[in-house]
Amino acid sequence: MSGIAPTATRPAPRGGGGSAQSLTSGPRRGDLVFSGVVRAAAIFLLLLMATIAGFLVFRATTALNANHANVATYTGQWAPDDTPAKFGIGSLAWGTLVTSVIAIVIAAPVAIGVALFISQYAPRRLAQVLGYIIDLLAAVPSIIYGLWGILFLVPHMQGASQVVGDVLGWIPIFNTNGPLGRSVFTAGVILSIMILPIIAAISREIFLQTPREQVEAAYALGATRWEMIKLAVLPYGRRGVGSAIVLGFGRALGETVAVAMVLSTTYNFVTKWLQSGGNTIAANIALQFGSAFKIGQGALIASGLVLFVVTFLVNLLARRITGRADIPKDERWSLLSVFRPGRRTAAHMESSYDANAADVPDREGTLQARDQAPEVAADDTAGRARPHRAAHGAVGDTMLVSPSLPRRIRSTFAGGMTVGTFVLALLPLISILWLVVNNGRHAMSPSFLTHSLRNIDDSQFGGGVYHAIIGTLEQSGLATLIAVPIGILVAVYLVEYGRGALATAVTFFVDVMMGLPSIVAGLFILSMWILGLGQHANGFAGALALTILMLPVVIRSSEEMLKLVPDSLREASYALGVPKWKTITKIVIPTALPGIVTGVMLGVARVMGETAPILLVVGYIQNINVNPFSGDEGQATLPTVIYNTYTSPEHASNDRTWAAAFLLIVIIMVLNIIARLIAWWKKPGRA
Amino acid sequence: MAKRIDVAGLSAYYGPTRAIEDISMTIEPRTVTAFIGPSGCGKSTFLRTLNRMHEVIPGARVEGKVTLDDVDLYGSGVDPVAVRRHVGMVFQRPNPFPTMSIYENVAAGLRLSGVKKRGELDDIVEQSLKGANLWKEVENRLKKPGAGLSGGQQQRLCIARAIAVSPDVLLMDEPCSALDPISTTAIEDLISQLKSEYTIVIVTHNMQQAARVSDRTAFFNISGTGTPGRLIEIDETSRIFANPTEKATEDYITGRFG
Ligand SMILES: Nc1ncnc2c1ncn2[C@@H]1O[C@H](COP(=O)(O)OP(=O)(O)OP(=O)(O)O)[C@@H](O)[C@H]1O
Ligand SMILES: [Mg+2]
Repeated sequence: MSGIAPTATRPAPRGGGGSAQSLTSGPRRGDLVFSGVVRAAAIFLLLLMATIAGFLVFRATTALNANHANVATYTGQWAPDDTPAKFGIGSLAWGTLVTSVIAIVIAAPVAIGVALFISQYAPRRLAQVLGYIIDLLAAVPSIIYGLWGILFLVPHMQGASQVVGDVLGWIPIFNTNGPLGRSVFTAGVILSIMILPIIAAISREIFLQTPREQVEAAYALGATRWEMIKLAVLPYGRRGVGSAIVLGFGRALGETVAVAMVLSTTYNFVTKWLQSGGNTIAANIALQFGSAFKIGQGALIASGLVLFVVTFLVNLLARRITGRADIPKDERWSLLSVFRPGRRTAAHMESSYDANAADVPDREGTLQARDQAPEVAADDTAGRARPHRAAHGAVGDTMLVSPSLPRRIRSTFAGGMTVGTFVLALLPLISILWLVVNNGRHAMSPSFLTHSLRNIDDSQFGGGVYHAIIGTLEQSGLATLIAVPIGILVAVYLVEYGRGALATAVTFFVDVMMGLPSIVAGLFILSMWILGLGQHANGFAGALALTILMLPVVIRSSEEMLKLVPDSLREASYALGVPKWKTITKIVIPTALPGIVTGVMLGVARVMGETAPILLVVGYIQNINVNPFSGDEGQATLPTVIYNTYTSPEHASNDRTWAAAFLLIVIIMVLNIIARLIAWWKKPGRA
Repeated sequence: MAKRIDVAGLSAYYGPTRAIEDISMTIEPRTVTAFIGPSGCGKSTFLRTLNRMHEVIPGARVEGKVTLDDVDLYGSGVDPVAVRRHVGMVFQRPNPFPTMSIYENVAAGLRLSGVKKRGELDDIVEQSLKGANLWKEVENRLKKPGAGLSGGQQQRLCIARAIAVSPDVLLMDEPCSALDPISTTAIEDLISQLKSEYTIVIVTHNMQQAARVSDRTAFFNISGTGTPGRLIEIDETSRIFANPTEKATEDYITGRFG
């Protein structure tokens, strides 16, 4: 009862609940501390990025100054550690561009077909499951695509390339006169499979957002399903799909190990795309890093900076294209979107789920209708619908005449095509799973899980990946321990406190990190932690690289989920006299928790399969090392075991490689399934 | 514990726009005061200035004076968080905390501000639920989620949650507008009971409701879109409905506009 304001003190009404309270009090320490902490997390993120950029630029300039060749045009070899140093980044950038263009040309139409099939043709109940299956393609780690690519796709591509070369050989890029298969074309095909899920997932979400009124308007004009799609769905989704394609392109640019494993390295401007040879920036970093000395490392970092800048610009372009905040920027978004009461499920939930959800769908729904409806309705629906109605009227005067035969055929054909693209997209998934299971089962046994590769020759049977399981779990575990608290704090800052320049800057850098190629994350840690601060290439360094990759995922998904917590809950809490920091920690975060957990699990699943950054920052060993902080000893992880053993000619070793791949896929699939179960179990409106 | 509120020359802003202008009134303890007026005239805005919830909205600010008994709520050194412990609020849509059980919802205000003693909490939860006429319906399912109740029960849960921190004043912004007639009656009965202990302010669009539950009624109006809302008059409810001083009040009550 320390009443400072004279009359604000009052007798304890019931056991003194509110009695000790007076209207005045000093500054609220809890609130000050908490807001200080979240702001510090945000500032830390900015400082980290700035420091990293500094180290990278320093290393790169040193190497560029030492280079005696023209960095843009030099071809033939990569010799930065020779005297005089000679290396060229131009041909690498060219190879990066070519593979990514091939990938996007193949992936974009297939992905749009898949998205249309899932969102427009598949039965509703099935649609979600089919979407998850396509998402699984995104969950397969690149090391496994690489393994599949070099051991399955390359041999098969040789024949196919020969056929294409025979028929189209008169076009210079399809000209062939040497070994085939390990070509930019094959690399492009693999990349197309890898980026298909992100394009398909984002497009699907956009298509599902098509305002109901526009769909019904099209049907009311007598449109067939395909005509409706052309009238309503495609115009509505145009920008979103465009941005998805650009994002997919950005992914392809930064993909590392799969390309490194498939391409047979040459340092020239590739012009014959079917023929073995070529290189990309990312692949070159992975390939050359092991043998690089000081200038060599700098040269690789310089090339990594080029890649970084290019992917950054591409991602910026993707954001410009959408121009709208509610367009997903990531394939994970689709999974997290089940937590949004306003979408997809809204129709079924409206009546039963009012109180808490009401704010969100109301706001979203009306905004969307206001922004989109008039524009599209005015220029697209009205403009194009009229000819259709005229055509319809010409067929017969009665309303009951079905659409003319050509129209029906066209609609059925279009539907069939989308089914076809879906099946096409499934083929690689089935092929990969089949190969991994079929080849992986030979070496798979309890002792495979409990033994390391210490003193095991390639030709010897036995041994296992116990050491790599430990490395994988420890590194991704440590990364989670660091990334989750920082990530959630930054997200809390952005949603609950963020205003002004700091918030804008943080949002921007999270976007930058989101599109960061993983090999560049490896370079970050390499240049700052290992080369800059002289730390060891141990498991902890790997964990730091994975942290860089996980942070944006955790921040983004937590941010999304915190934003979904209706303001009415915050107000209810404030109105009870609960301070802001307790409102956030006890009401807002618990409400958002299932979504946050799902986002974290997806982040963990992603980093567990990472190869490229680990190659750069963790020494590879064949024996057990449980200490990720040990000074001079590295650690193996499942992906690096695969990467270091797949070239072996020995049968015994091959069996182990596939078994490691099998194990890796199982772990990642299990994590994905658990994340999905949490999402499904805890989604709003279910309780 | 009910307290008296004095408002003098109060204006409230959203960013640069003034939503309400120069409002002065006295709200007596142990009475129910109803706010009526056309949509957008600033009833909710004014209500939220009485427990400093207005300033939760970014860019929003208040000018003028609100005193609770003799303490200026906007005086320097006054903590808005403490103000809200004294002036509770019930919202238009029931908003129980979805992650919490019925029990935890009622206990939330106390728990989150530091009262942890189990026996004490049990007592207060029971008293509050009884006070909100909800105890009989939920006594066997206190551990169940609050979101599992019907809309009317949820609203009474929110009232229980508000009175559990034993405020002096209870603000209610259209507490029945999302409810069916039976739940509405239940809430109205509850308001009549609560007024023996609390100062109650209720915003409503329902004239009959204002006439039924309130002792005094304040009529707010705007002269046109974009202009700030003003208090037209405040008086005994019977007088406002039978014989208002202002023409605008009569027009509004008899349904000639609004
Ligand atoms: N968060 C806000 N930001 C900006 N302006 C607001 C905000 N909330 C309300 N206003 C404006 O303030 C004015 C008063 O609104 P208020 O909600 O207080 O009216 P009301 O009398 O409660 O209306 P109703 O009866 O519809 O609830 C309106 O012009 C409204 O547009
Ligand atoms: Mg209102």
